[in-house]
Amino acid sequence: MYSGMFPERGSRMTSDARTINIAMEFSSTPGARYRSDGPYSGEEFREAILETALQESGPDACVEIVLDGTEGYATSFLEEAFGGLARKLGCDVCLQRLRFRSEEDPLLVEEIQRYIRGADE
Amino acid sequence: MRRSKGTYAVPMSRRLGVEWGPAAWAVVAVLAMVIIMAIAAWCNWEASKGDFWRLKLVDFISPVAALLVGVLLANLFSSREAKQLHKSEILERLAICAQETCRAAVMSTYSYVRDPSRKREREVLTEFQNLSRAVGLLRTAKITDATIPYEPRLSECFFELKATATDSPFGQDRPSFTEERARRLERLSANFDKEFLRFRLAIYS
Repeated sequence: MYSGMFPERGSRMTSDARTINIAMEFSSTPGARYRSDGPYSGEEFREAILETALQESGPDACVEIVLDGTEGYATSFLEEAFGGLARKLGCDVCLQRLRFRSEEDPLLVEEIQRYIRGADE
Repeated sequence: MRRSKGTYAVPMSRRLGVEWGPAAWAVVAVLAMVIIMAIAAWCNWEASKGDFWRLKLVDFISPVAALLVGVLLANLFSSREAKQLHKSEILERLAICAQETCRAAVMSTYSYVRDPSRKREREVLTEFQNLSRAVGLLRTAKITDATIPYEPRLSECFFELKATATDSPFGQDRPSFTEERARRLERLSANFDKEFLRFRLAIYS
């Protein structure tokens, strides 16, 4: 089930779009908020994986994030990774360039989108 | 998802109320047909002036046909109702499983707060992951079954509860949860419980 929003005008969702599988490329046990909290934190994921992928894929290209395969995400991880990115790049840019996919837990996509929208508040 | 013994059983009164409501109308219809048949048979008997051999074959066939139609109608109504009831029971079981997963998630959060460890932290996250999937399923079921007169706030409750339980200082080496946060967790868990009950009631309304 594809749970992301439809690509908006101006964004590119090509077949060679970068895909990040969190369980495979980062960790199947994501941690807490900051690096100081322990391994596999949201801050680490954002800086090492997410921002790098966005830079590499070009200014308008989309990045697809596969959320399945982990043992659950803490709110602190999700908020820091995606809410933190929205605080840096802006909510609209994040919603436009990030596509989330979760077949196991579609509600997770909605949860992340809430953190992105709530980052401006 | 766990399920405690016997909690999902639908009370007999409610079961009868749902299953026999429209089915009772079918029974009444059959009875009415039997009465009409008896009157028709009596009229035929009177018309034949008590002579059995003056009755025609159609006088026998028409009451039997009416009875057959009545029985078929009753069967149709009751099987449709039974199917709907079965669907509602499955949905309620799912809601109860989700409710118990919610309680398990809150209990594991309490035990993590009392004695934090990486193992307990994973347990909390796994319970919340299970809860998220269950709430997602319930929401999908609600969307596909438009007969439920209820706008669920289940996902809202879930997001609030999860944020209270698993946002910082959750996952830190030495997390310290405030009293205010523990009270908030308790309040949100009670609200969530109430929301599950509302959903379960709405399934049968």
